[in-house]
Amino acid sequence: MTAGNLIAAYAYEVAPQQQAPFAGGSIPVSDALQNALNHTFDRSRIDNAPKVTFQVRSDSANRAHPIRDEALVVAFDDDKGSESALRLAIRLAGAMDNRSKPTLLVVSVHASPREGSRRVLLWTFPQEEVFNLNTSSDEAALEMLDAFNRESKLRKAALIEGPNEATSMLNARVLDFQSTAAERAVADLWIVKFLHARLQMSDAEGTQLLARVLRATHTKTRADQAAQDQIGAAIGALRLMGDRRVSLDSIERAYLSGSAAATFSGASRPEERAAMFSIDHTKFDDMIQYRRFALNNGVVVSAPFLEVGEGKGVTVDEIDGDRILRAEGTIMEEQVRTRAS
Amino acid sequence: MHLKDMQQIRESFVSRHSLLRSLADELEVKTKQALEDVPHIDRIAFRAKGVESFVAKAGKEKYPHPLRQLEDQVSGRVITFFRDDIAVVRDVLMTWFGDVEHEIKAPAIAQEFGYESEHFVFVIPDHMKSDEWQEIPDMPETFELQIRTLFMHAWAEPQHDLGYKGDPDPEVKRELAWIAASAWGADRTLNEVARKLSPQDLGELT
Repeated sequence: MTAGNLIAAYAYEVAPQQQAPFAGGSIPVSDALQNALNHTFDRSRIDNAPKVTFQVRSDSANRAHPIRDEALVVAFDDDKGSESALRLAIRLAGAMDNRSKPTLLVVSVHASPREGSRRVLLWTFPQEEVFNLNTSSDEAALEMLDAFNRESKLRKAALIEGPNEATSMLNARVLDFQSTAAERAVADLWIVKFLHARLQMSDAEGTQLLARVLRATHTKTRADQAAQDQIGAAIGALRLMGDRRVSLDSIERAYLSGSAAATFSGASRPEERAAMFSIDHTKFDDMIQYRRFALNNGVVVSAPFLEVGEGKGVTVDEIDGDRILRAEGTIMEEQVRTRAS
Repeated sequence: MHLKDMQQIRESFVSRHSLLRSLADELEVKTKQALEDVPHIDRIAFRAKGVESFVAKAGKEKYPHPLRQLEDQVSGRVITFFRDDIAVVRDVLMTWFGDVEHEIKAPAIAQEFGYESEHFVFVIPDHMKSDEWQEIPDMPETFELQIRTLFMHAWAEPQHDLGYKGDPDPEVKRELAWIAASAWGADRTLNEVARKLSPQDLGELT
Protein backbone atom coordinates (compact mmCIF):
# COMPACT_ATOMS: atom_id res chain seq x y z
CA MET A 1 0.00 0.00 0.00
CA THR A 2 1.24 3.49 -0.77
CA ALA A 3 0.50 6.85 0.80
CA GLY A 4 -1.62 7.79 -2.23
CA ASN A 5 -1.03 10.34 -4.98
CA LEU A 6 0.75 13.32 -3.49
CA ILE A 7 -1.29 16.53 -3.76
CA ALA A 8 0.68 18.93 -1.56
CA ALA A 9 3.54 18.90 0.92
CA TYR A 10 4.91 21.29 3.52
CA ALA A 11 8.01 21.02 5.70
CA TYR A 12 9.26 23.04 8.67
CA GLU A 13 12.30 22.75 10.91
CA VAL A 14 11.04 22.86 14.49
CA ALA A 15 13.06 23.29 17.70
CA PRO A 16 11.62 22.91 21.20
CA GLN A 17 9.77 26.01 22.39
CA GLN A 18 10.83 27.85 19.23
CA GLN A 19 9.18 31.15 18.47
CA ALA A 20 8.69 32.45 14.93
CA PRO A 21 10.23 32.57 12.37
CA PHE A 22 10.22 28.94 11.25
CA ALA A 23 12.37 27.81 8.35
CA GLY A 24 10.35 25.94 5.75
CA GLY A 25 7.17 26.15 3.72
CA SER A 26 5.50 24.52 0.76
CA ILE A 27 7.55 21.84 -1.03
CA PRO A 28 7.06 21.30 -4.79
CA VAL A 29 5.43 17.98 -5.55
CA SER A 30 7.76 15.70 -7.51
CA ASP A 31 8.11 12.03 -8.32
CA ALA A 32 11.17 11.84 -6.05
CA LEU A 33 9.22 13.26 -3.10
CA GLN A 34 6.25 11.01 -3.84
CA ASN A 35 8.53 7.96 -3.91
CA ALA A 36 10.29 8.97 -0.71
CA LEU A 37 6.99 9.48 1.12
CA ASN A 38 5.60 6.20 -0.25
CA HIS A 39 8.67 4.38 1.01
CA THR A 40 8.41 5.99 4.44
CA PHE A 41 4.69 5.23 4.57
CA ASP A 42 5.21 1.56 3.69
CA ARG A 43 8.05 1.11 6.15
CA SER A 44 6.07 2.67 8.96
CA ARG A 45 2.93 0.54 8.38
CA ILE A 46 0.97 3.45 9.72
CA ASP A 47 -2.14 2.34 7.85
CA ASN A 48 -2.42 -0.45 10.45
CA ALA A 49 -1.29 1.59 13.45
CA PRO A 50 -3.56 2.07 16.50
CA LYS A 51 -6.16 4.83 16.34
CA VAL A 52 -6.55 7.73 18.72
CA THR A 53 -9.61 9.94 19.07
CA PHE A 54 -9.24 13.71 18.91
CA GLN A 55 -10.52 15.47 22.00
CA VAL A 56 -12.74 17.92 20.17
CA ARG A 57 -14.69 20.69 21.89
CA SER A 58 -17.89 18.71 22.40
CA ASP A 59 -19.80 21.86 23.28
CA SER A 60 -18.85 23.60 20.03
CA ALA A 61 -21.07 23.44 16.96
CA ASN A 62 -18.20 22.63 14.60
CA ARG A 63 -16.34 20.12 16.81
CA ALA A 64 -13.38 22.45 17.08
CA HIS A 65 -9.96 20.89 17.56
CA PRO A 66 -6.48 22.35 16.98
CA ILE A 67 -5.21 19.49 14.78
CA ARG A 68 -8.45 18.42 13.08
CA ASP A 69 -9.24 22.01 12.08
CA GLU A 70 -5.83 22.45 10.44
CA ALA A 71 -5.97 19.00 8.81
CA LEU A 72 -9.29 19.88 7.16
CA VAL A 73 -7.83 23.14 5.82
CA VAL A 74 -4.60 21.51 4.60
CA ALA A 75 -6.58 18.74 2.90
CA PHE A 76 -9.32 20.76 1.25
CA ASP A 77 -8.23 24.39 0.94
CA ASP A 78 -5.11 24.56 -1.23
CA ASP A 79 -4.75 28.33 -0.80
CA LYS A 80 -4.49 28.15 2.99
CA GLY A 81 -2.42 24.98 3.32
CA SER A 82 0.86 26.78 4.09
CA GLU A 83 -0.68 28.85 6.88
CA SER A 84 -2.20 25.74 8.48
CA ALA A 85 1.04 23.78 8.21
CA LEU A 86 2.90 26.66 9.87
CA ARG A 87 0.37 26.70 12.71
CA LEU A 88 1.02 22.97 13.16
CA ALA A 89 4.77 23.69 13.35
CA ILE A 90 4.18 26.37 16.00
CA ARG A 91 2.01 23.95 17.99
CA LEU A 92 4.66 21.22 17.76
CA ALA A 93 7.35 23.60 19.02
CA GLY A 94 5.16 24.41 22.02
CA ALA A 95 4.54 20.71 22.75
CA MET A 96 8.24 19.78 22.67
CA ASP A 97 10.27 20.22 25.84
CA ASN A 98 13.90 21.26 25.85
CA ARG A 99 15.14 17.66 26.04
CA SER A 100 13.82 17.04 22.52
CA LYS A 101 16.08 17.43 19.51
CA PRO A 102 15.14 19.71 16.64
CA THR A 103 12.87 17.89 14.24
CA LEU A 104 11.56 18.13 10.70
CA LEU A 105 7.78 18.41 10.52
CA VAL A 106 6.45 17.19 7.18
CA VAL A 107 2.77 17.65 6.36
CA SER A 108 1.69 15.86 3.21
CA VAL A 109 -1.71 15.64 1.52
CA HIS A 110 -2.60 12.60 -0.56
CA ALA A 111 -5.51 11.28 -2.56
CA SER A 112 -7.55 8.72 -0.65
CA PRO A 113 -9.00 5.51 -2.05
CA ARG A 114 -12.26 6.50 -0.31
CA GLU A 115 -14.60 8.69 -2.40
CA GLY A 116 -14.54 12.37 -1.47
CA SER A 117 -11.80 11.79 1.09
CA ARG A 118 -8.25 12.95 1.44
CA ARG A 119 -5.35 11.80 3.53
CA VAL A 120 -3.23 14.09 5.65
CA LEU A 121 0.02 12.72 7.01
CA LEU A 122 1.93 14.47 9.76
CA TRP A 123 5.50 13.27 10.19
CA THR A 124 8.27 14.30 12.51
CA PHE A 125 11.81 13.18 11.71
CA PRO A 126 14.28 14.04 14.50
CA GLN A 127 17.67 15.53 13.84
CA GLU A 128 20.49 13.04 14.38
CA GLU A 129 24.22 13.06 13.84
CA VAL A 130 25.38 11.13 10.79
CA PHE A 131 28.74 10.50 9.15
CA ASN A 132 29.46 11.65 5.65
CA LEU A 133 32.45 10.21 3.83
CA ASN A 134 33.79 12.94 1.57
CA THR A 135 36.00 11.59 -1.23
CA SER A 136 35.84 14.58 -3.54
CA SER A 137 39.38 15.74 -2.76
CA ASP A 138 42.64 13.77 -2.85
CA GLU A 139 42.16 12.74 0.74
CA ALA A 140 39.06 11.00 2.02
CA ALA A 141 37.46 12.90 4.90
CA LEU A 142 34.92 11.84 7.47
CA GLU A 143 32.51 14.64 8.26
CA MET A 144 29.89 14.84 11.02
CA LEU A 145 26.56 16.17 9.81
CA ASP A 146 23.21 16.83 11.43
CA ALA A 147 20.41 15.32 9.37
CA PHE A 148 16.72 14.57 9.78
CA ASN A 149 16.50 10.79 9.92
CA ARG A 150 13.41 9.29 8.32
CA GLU A 151 14.19 5.83 9.75
CA SER A 152 14.74 7.09 13.30
CA LYS A 153 13.13 5.16 16.15
CA LEU A 154 12.09 8.53 17.51
CA ARG A 155 10.11 9.49 14.41
CA LYS A 156 6.40 9.99 14.86
CA ALA A 157 3.46 10.08 12.50
CA ALA A 158 -0.28 10.63 12.36
CA LEU A 159 -2.59 9.60 9.52
CA ILE A 160 -5.84 11.55 9.33
CA GLU A 161 -8.28 10.58 6.60
CA GLY A 162 -11.79 11.45 5.56
CA PRO A 163 -14.08 13.80 3.66
CA ASN A 164 -14.67 17.43 4.56
CA GLU A 165 -17.61 16.77 6.87
CA ALA A 166 -18.59 17.20 10.51
CA THR A 167 -18.58 13.43 11.03
CA SER A 168 -15.07 12.83 9.68
CA MET A 169 -11.44 13.27 10.69
CA LEU A 170 -12.38 12.72 14.32
CA ASN A 171 -9.56 10.26 14.84
CA ALA A 172 -6.08 9.43 13.57
CA ARG A 173 -3.81 6.45 13.23
CA VAL A 174 -0.67 7.09 15.20
CA LEU A 175 2.90 5.88 15.06
CA ASP A 176 4.93 6.67 18.16
CA PHE A 177 7.54 4.27 19.48
CA GLN A 178 7.82 6.41 22.61
CA SER A 179 4.16 6.11 23.56
CA THR A 180 5.07 3.16 25.79
CA ALA A 181 7.90 5.01 27.53
CA ALA A 182 8.01 4.77 31.31
CA GLU A 183 8.23 8.53 31.65
CA ARG A 184 4.80 10.01 31.04
CA ALA A 185 6.04 13.33 29.68
CA VAL A 186 7.89 11.48 26.92
CA ALA A 187 5.03 9.08 26.26
CA ASP A 188 2.46 11.86 26.07
CA LEU A 189 4.32 14.33 23.83
CA TRP A 190 2.88 13.24 20.47
CA ILE A 191 -0.58 11.86 21.31
CA VAL A 192 -1.62 13.98 24.27
CA LYS A 193 0.28 17.26 24.01
CA PHE A 194 0.57 17.73 20.24
CA LEU A 195 -2.36 15.78 18.79
CA HIS A 196 -4.62 16.56 21.77
CA ALA A 197 -6.01 13.05 21.48
CA ARG A 198 -6.83 10.08 23.67
CA LEU A 199 -6.25 6.40 23.18
CA GLN A 200 -9.41 4.70 21.98
CA MET A 201 -9.34 2.16 24.79
CA SER A 202 -9.64 3.98 28.10
CA ASP A 203 -7.51 2.90 31.05
CA ALA A 204 -10.64 1.70 32.85
CA GLU A 205 -11.80 -0.38 29.89
CA GLY A 206 -8.34 -1.79 29.21
CA THR A 207 -7.76 -2.70 32.85
CA GLN A 208 -11.12 -4.42 33.07
CA LEU A 209 -10.43 -6.32 29.85
CA LEU A 210 -6.95 -7.34 31.02
CA ALA A 211 -8.27 -8.61 34.36
CA ARG A 212 -11.03 -10.61 32.65
CA VAL A 213 -8.57 -12.15 30.18
CA LEU A 214 -6.12 -13.05 32.96
CA ARG A 215 -8.91 -14.60 35.00
CA ALA A 216 -10.13 -16.65 32.02
CA THR A 217 -6.55 -17.78 31.28
CA HIS A 218 -5.99 -18.67 34.93
CA THR A 219 -9.18 -20.73 35.06
CA LYS A 220 -8.60 -22.56 31.78
CA THR A 221 -5.00 -23.51 32.60
CA ARG A 222 -5.73 -24.61 36.17
CA ALA A 223 -4.23 -28.08 35.52
CA ASP A 224 -1.07 -26.66 33.90
CA GLN A 225 1.36 -25.61 36.64
CA ALA A 226 3.84 -23.98 34.24
CA ALA A 227 1.08 -21.82 32.79
CA GLN A 228 -0.17 -20.93 36.27
CA ASP A 229 3.34 -19.89 37.29
CA GLN A 230 3.63 -17.65 34.20
CA ILE A 231 0.29 -16.01 34.93
CA GLY A 232 1.27 -15.43 38.55
CA ALA A 233 4.57 -13.89 37.49
CA ALA A 234 2.85 -11.73 34.89
CA ILE A 235 0.37 -10.43 37.45
CA GLY A 236 3.21 -9.68 39.86
CA ALA A 237 5.08 -7.71 37.19
CA LEU A 238 1.98 -5.85 35.99
CA ARG A 239 1.16 -4.78 39.55
CA LEU A 240 4.54 -3.04 39.73
CA MET A 241 4.53 -1.62 36.23
CA GLY A 242 3.62 2.00 36.92
CA ASP A 243 1.60 3.80 34.27
CA ARG A 244 3.57 2.64 31.23
CA ARG A 245 1.18 1.92 28.35
CA VAL A 246 0.54 -1.70 27.45
CA SER A 247 -1.65 -3.80 25.17
CA LEU A 248 -2.79 -7.41 25.48
CA ASP A 249 -0.34 -8.19 22.66
CA SER A 250 2.59 -6.55 24.44
CA ILE A 251 1.77 -8.33 27.71
CA GLU A 252 1.58 -11.68 25.95
CA ARG A 253 4.92 -11.10 24.24
CA ALA A 254 6.63 -9.98 27.44
CA TYR A 255 5.38 -12.53 29.97
CA LEU A 256 3.70 -15.55 28.41
CA SER A 257 4.60 -18.48 26.19
CA GLY A 258 3.26 -21.89 25.23
CA SER A 259 -0.20 -22.81 26.46
CA ALA A 260 -0.47 -19.74 28.68
CA ALA A 261 0.11 -17.45 25.69
CA ALA A 262 -2.31 -19.38 23.48
CA THR A 263 -5.05 -19.34 26.11
CA PHE A 264 -4.46 -15.66 26.89
CA SER A 265 -4.65 -14.77 23.21
CA GLY A 266 -7.85 -16.77 22.72
CA ALA A 267 -9.61 -15.05 25.60
CA SER A 268 -10.06 -11.73 23.78
CA ARG A 269 -11.24 -10.59 20.36
CA PRO A 270 -8.51 -9.92 17.75
CA GLU A 271 -9.62 -6.29 17.44
CA GLU A 272 -8.93 -5.69 21.13
CA ARG A 273 -5.41 -7.06 21.37
CA ALA A 274 -3.41 -4.18 19.89
CA ALA A 275 -5.31 -1.42 21.71
CA MET A 276 -3.04 0.49 24.12
CA PHE A 277 -3.97 1.57 27.65
CA SER A 278 -2.40 2.22 31.04
CA ILE A 279 -3.25 -0.05 33.93
CA ASP A 280 -5.53 1.44 36.56
CA HIS A 281 -3.81 -0.26 39.49
CA THR A 282 -6.60 0.14 42.02
CA LYS A 283 -9.10 -1.37 39.62
CA PHE A 284 -6.64 -4.07 38.57
CA ASP A 285 -5.96 -5.19 42.15
CA ASP A 286 -9.66 -5.13 42.89
CA MET A 287 -10.50 -7.32 39.90
CA ILE A 288 -7.53 -9.65 40.20
CA GLN A 289 -8.20 -10.07 43.92
CA TYR A 290 -4.48 -10.54 44.44
CA ARG A 291 -3.93 -11.39 48.07
CA ARG A 292 -0.69 -11.96 49.94
CA PHE A 293 -0.73 -12.91 53.61
CA ALA A 294 2.55 -13.15 55.55
CA LEU A 295 1.96 -15.18 58.74
CA ASN A 296 3.85 -14.94 62.04
CA ASN A 297 5.39 -18.40 61.44
CA GLY A 298 7.05 -17.31 58.21
CA VAL A 299 4.50 -18.94 55.94
CA VAL A 300 3.31 -16.81 53.05
CA VAL A 301 -0.07 -17.46 51.46
CA SER A 302 -0.50 -15.64 48.18
CA ALA A 303 -2.48 -16.08 45.01
CA PRO A 304 -4.38 -14.12 42.40
CA PHE A 305 -8.14 -14.55 42.22
CA LEU A 306 -8.07 -15.71 45.85
CA GLU A 307 -11.57 -15.66 47.27
CA VAL A 308 -11.74 -15.44 51.02
CA GLY A 309 -14.78 -16.63 52.95
CA GLU A 310 -16.77 -19.61 54.13
CA GLY A 311 -16.68 -22.45 51.58
CA LYS A 312 -13.87 -20.80 49.58
CA GLY A 313 -11.01 -22.74 51.23
CA VAL A 314 -9.47 -19.69 52.84
CA THR A 315 -11.02 -17.89 55.79
CA VAL A 316 -9.84 -14.95 57.85
CA ASP A 317 -11.39 -14.57 61.32
CA GLU A 318 -10.78 -11.98 63.99
CA ILE A 319 -10.05 -13.63 67.34
CA ASP A 320 -8.94 -11.64 70.40
CA GLY A 321 -7.74 -8.77 68.22
CA ASP A 322 -5.67 -11.00 65.89
CA ARG A 323 -6.63 -11.87 62.34
CA ILE A 324 -6.29 -15.64 61.92
CA LEU A 325 -5.97 -17.21 58.50
CA ARG A 326 -7.09 -20.75 57.83
CA ALA A 327 -6.40 -22.43 54.50
CA GLU A 328 -7.74 -25.82 53.62
CA GLY A 329 -7.64 -27.75 50.36
CA THR A 330 -6.38 -30.84 48.63
CA ILE A 331 -2.70 -30.77 47.65
CA MET A 332 -2.46 -31.25 43.91
CA GLU A 333 1.32 -30.97 43.64
CA GLU A 334 4.26 -30.66 45.99
CA GLN A 335 7.61 -29.19 45.11
CA VAL A 336 10.78 -28.92 47.14
CA ARG A 337 12.84 -26.17 45.61
CA THR A 338 16.60 -26.52 45.85
CA ARG A 339 19.45 -24.75 44.20
CA ALA A 340 20.86 -26.66 41.26
CA SER A 341 24.17 -28.17 42.31
CA MET B 1 -31.87 13.32 -4.13
CA HIS B 2 -32.76 10.94 -6.97
CA LEU B 3 -34.99 7.96 -6.34
CA LYS B 4 -32.29 5.68 -7.78
CA ASP B 5 -29.79 6.99 -5.23
CA MET B 6 -32.22 6.35 -2.40
CA GLN B 7 -32.74 2.79 -3.60
CA GLN B 8 -28.98 2.25 -3.58
CA ILE B 9 -28.72 3.80 -0.17
CA ARG B 10 -31.51 1.56 1.15
CA GLU B 11 -29.79 -1.53 -0.26
CA SER B 12 -26.44 -0.49 1.17
CA PHE B 13 -27.99 0.12 4.57
CA VAL B 14 -29.81 -3.22 4.55
CA SER B 15 -26.61 -5.05 3.58
CA ARG B 16 -24.68 -3.52 6.49
CA HIS B 17 -27.47 -3.77 9.05
CA SER B 18 -26.07 -6.94 10.63
CA LEU B 19 -22.76 -5.12 11.29
CA LEU B 20 -24.60 -2.25 12.92
CA ARG B 21 -26.58 -4.69 15.10
CA SER B 22 -23.35 -6.44 16.14
CA LEU B 23 -21.85 -3.09 17.09
CA ALA B 24 -24.98 -2.21 19.08
CA ASP B 25 -24.64 -5.50 20.98
CA GLU B 26 -20.95 -4.86 21.62
CA LEU B 27 -21.57 -1.30 22.80
CA GLU B 28 -24.32 -2.51 25.13
CA VAL B 29 -21.96 -5.05 26.70
CA LYS B 30 -19.18 -2.47 27.06
CA THR B 31 -21.51 0.15 28.52
CA LYS B 32 -22.83 -2.35 31.06
CA GLN B 33 -19.23 -3.21 32.00
CA ALA B 34 -18.39 0.48 32.31
CA LEU B 35 -21.35 1.08 34.62
CA GLU B 36 -21.25 -2.17 36.59
CA ASP B 37 -20.22 -0.37 39.77
CA VAL B 38 -22.69 2.49 39.32
CA PRO B 39 -25.91 2.04 41.31
CA HIS B 40 -29.45 3.10 40.42
CA ILE B 41 -29.34 2.17 36.75
CA ASP B 42 -32.74 1.07 35.49
CA ARG B 43 -31.65 -0.10 32.04
CA ILE B 44 -28.99 0.14 29.36
CA ALA B 45 -30.06 -0.59 25.81
CA PHE B 46 -28.57 -0.11 22.34
CA ARG B 47 -30.15 -0.62 18.94
CA ALA B 48 -29.35 -0.32 15.25
CA LYS B 49 -31.63 2.15 13.47
CA GLY B 50 -34.51 0.54 11.60
CA VAL B 51 -34.38 0.50 7.82
CA GLU B 52 -37.52 2.61 7.22
CA SER B 53 -36.50 5.14 9.86
CA PHE B 54 -33.04 5.42 8.30
CA VAL B 55 -34.38 5.83 4.77
CA ALA B 56 -36.83 8.54 5.87
CA LYS B 57 -34.02 10.54 7.49
CA ALA B 58 -31.48 9.77 4.76
CA GLY B 59 -33.71 11.43 2.17
CA LYS B 60 -33.25 14.84 3.77
CA GLU B 61 -31.24 17.35 1.78
CA LYS B 62 -28.80 18.07 4.60
CA TYR B 63 -27.42 14.53 4.35
CA PRO B 64 -25.80 14.21 0.89
CA HIS B 65 -23.92 11.12 2.14
CA PRO B 66 -26.29 9.65 4.74
CA LEU B 67 -24.51 6.31 5.12
CA ARG B 68 -21.59 8.06 6.78
CA GLN B 69 -23.32 11.22 8.00
CA LEU B 70 -26.24 9.91 10.07
CA GLU B 71 -24.86 9.53 13.56
CA ASP B 72 -27.78 7.63 15.09
CA GLN B 73 -27.36 4.47 12.99
CA VAL B 74 -26.30 2.91 16.27
CA SER B 75 -27.59 4.50 19.44
CA GLY B 76 -28.04 3.73 23.07
CA ARG B 77 -29.83 4.92 26.15
CA VAL B 78 -29.00 4.74 29.83
CA ILE B 79 -31.92 5.29 32.20
CA THR B 80 -31.21 6.13 35.82
CA PHE B 81 -33.49 6.17 38.83
CA PHE B 82 -32.46 9.59 40.10
CA ARG B 83 -31.49 12.92 38.54
CA ASP B 84 -28.20 13.04 40.50
CA ASP B 85 -27.14 9.75 38.89
CA ILE B 86 -26.99 11.34 35.45
CA ALA B 87 -23.74 13.13 36.32
CA VAL B 88 -22.19 9.91 37.63
CA VAL B 89 -23.08 8.03 34.43
CA ARG B 90 -21.92 10.95 32.30
CA ASP B 91 -18.50 11.05 33.97
CA VAL B 92 -17.92 7.31 33.58
CA LEU B 93 -18.98 7.19 29.94
CA MET B 94 -16.99 10.28 28.98
CA THR B 95 -13.95 8.48 30.43
CA TRP B 96 -14.66 5.31 28.47
CA PHE B 97 -15.59 6.86 25.13
CA GLY B 98 -14.33 9.92 23.25
CA ASP B 99 -17.17 12.45 23.13
CA VAL B 100 -17.49 14.77 20.15
CA GLU B 101 -20.82 16.28 21.06
CA HIS B 102 -22.59 16.83 24.37
CA GLU B 103 -25.84 18.68 24.73
CA ILE B 104 -28.14 19.03 27.71
CA LYS B 105 -31.65 19.13 26.31
CA ALA B 106 -34.07 21.17 28.36
CA PRO B 107 -36.83 23.70 27.71
CA ALA B 108 -35.42 27.04 26.63
CA ILE B 109 -37.29 29.17 29.16
CA ALA B 110 -37.94 28.62 32.88
CA GLN B 111 -41.73 28.75 32.60
CA GLU B 112 -41.80 25.88 30.09
CA PHE B 113 -41.89 22.16 30.80
CA GLY B 114 -40.91 19.67 28.14
CA TYR B 115 -38.30 17.27 26.89
CA GLU B 116 -35.25 16.74 29.11
CA SER B 117 -32.28 14.46 28.43
CA GLU B 118 -28.51 14.52 27.97
CA HIS B 119 -27.44 13.72 24.42
CA PHE B 120 -23.98 12.60 23.38
CA VAL B 121 -22.19 11.72 20.18
CA PHE B 122 -19.22 9.42 20.78
CA VAL B 123 -16.57 8.07 18.41
CA ILE B 124 -16.90 4.33 17.73
CA PRO B 125 -13.62 2.84 19.00
CA ASP B 126 -11.73 0.82 16.42
CA HIS B 127 -11.42 -2.18 18.72
CA MET B 128 -15.20 -2.54 18.76
CA LYS B 129 -15.45 -2.80 14.97
CA SER B 130 -15.11 -6.12 13.18
CA ASP B 131 -12.61 -6.68 10.36
CA GLU B 132 -15.53 -6.66 7.90
CA TRP B 133 -16.53 -3.18 9.10
CA GLN B 134 -13.13 -1.84 8.04
CA GLU B 135 -13.58 -3.14 4.49
CA ILE B 136 -16.87 -1.36 3.77
CA PRO B 137 -16.77 2.29 2.64
CA ASP B 138 -18.83 5.01 4.29
CA MET B 139 -19.44 3.23 7.58
CA PRO B 140 -20.36 5.65 10.39
CA GLU B 141 -17.61 6.91 12.69
CA THR B 142 -19.87 7.83 15.60
CA PHE B 143 -22.81 6.65 17.69
CA GLU B 144 -25.37 8.48 19.80
CA LEU B 145 -26.18 8.00 23.45
CA GLN B 146 -28.84 9.51 25.71
CA ILE B 147 -28.85 9.60 29.49
CA ARG B 148 -32.08 10.40 31.32
CA THR B 149 -34.06 9.47 34.41
CA LEU B 150 -37.11 7.21 34.57
CA PHE B 151 -39.43 10.21 34.86
CA MET B 152 -37.77 12.05 31.95
CA HIS B 153 -38.19 8.86 29.93
CA ALA B 154 -41.77 8.30 31.09
CA TRP B 155 -42.71 11.66 29.61
CA ALA B 156 -40.44 11.64 26.56
CA GLU B 157 -41.35 8.28 25.06
CA PRO B 158 -45.15 8.53 24.80
CA GLN B 159 -44.91 12.24 24.05
CA HIS B 160 -42.75 11.42 21.06
CA ASP B 161 -45.68 9.53 19.55
CA LEU B 162 -48.46 11.76 20.86
CA GLY B 163 -47.22 15.24 20.20
CA TYR B 164 -43.91 15.48 18.45
CA LYS B 165 -44.89 14.13 15.05
CA GLY B 166 -48.18 15.95 14.62
CA ASP B 167 -49.61 19.33 15.54
CA PRO B 168 -52.04 18.71 18.41
CA ASP B 169 -54.77 21.23 19.29
CA PRO B 170 -54.10 23.75 22.09
CA GLU B 171 -55.99 21.73 24.72
CA VAL B 172 -53.87 18.63 24.03
CA LYS B 173 -50.71 20.77 24.03
CA ARG B 174 -51.69 22.10 27.45
CA GLU B 175 -52.35 18.59 28.75
CA LEU B 176 -48.96 17.45 27.45
CA ALA B 177 -47.32 20.40 29.20
CA TRP B 178 -49.12 19.42 32.44
CA ILE B 179 -47.79 15.85 32.11
CA ALA B 180 -44.28 17.24 31.51
CA ALA B 181 -44.56 19.48 34.57
CA SER B 182 -45.82 16.57 36.68
CA ALA B 183 -42.96 14.34 35.51
CA TRP B 184 -40.46 17.13 36.26
CA GLY B 185 -41.93 17.59 39.75
CA ALA B 186 -41.96 13.87 40.50
CA ASP B 187 -38.38 13.53 39.20
CA ARG B 188 -37.15 16.37 41.36
CA THR B 189 -38.99 15.15 44.48
CA LEU B 190 -37.77 11.58 44.02
CA ASN B 191 -34.22 12.91 43.78
CA GLU B 192 -34.70 14.88 47.02
CA VAL B 193 -36.03 11.74 48.73
CA ALA B 194 -33.02 9.77 47.51
CA ARG B 195 -30.67 12.39 48.97
CA LYS B 196 -32.33 12.01 52.37
CA LEU B 197 -32.03 8.22 52.41
CA SER B 198 -28.84 6.47 53.50
CA PRO B 199 -26.75 4.57 50.94
CA GLN B 200 -27.81 1.34 52.70
CA ASP B 201 -31.47 2.17 52.14
CA LEU B 202 -30.76 2.99 48.52
CA GLY B 203 -28.60 -0.12 48.12
CA GLU B 204 -31.74 -2.21 47.96
CA LEU B 205 -32.71 -0.34 44.81
CA THR B 206 -29.60 -1.30 42.82
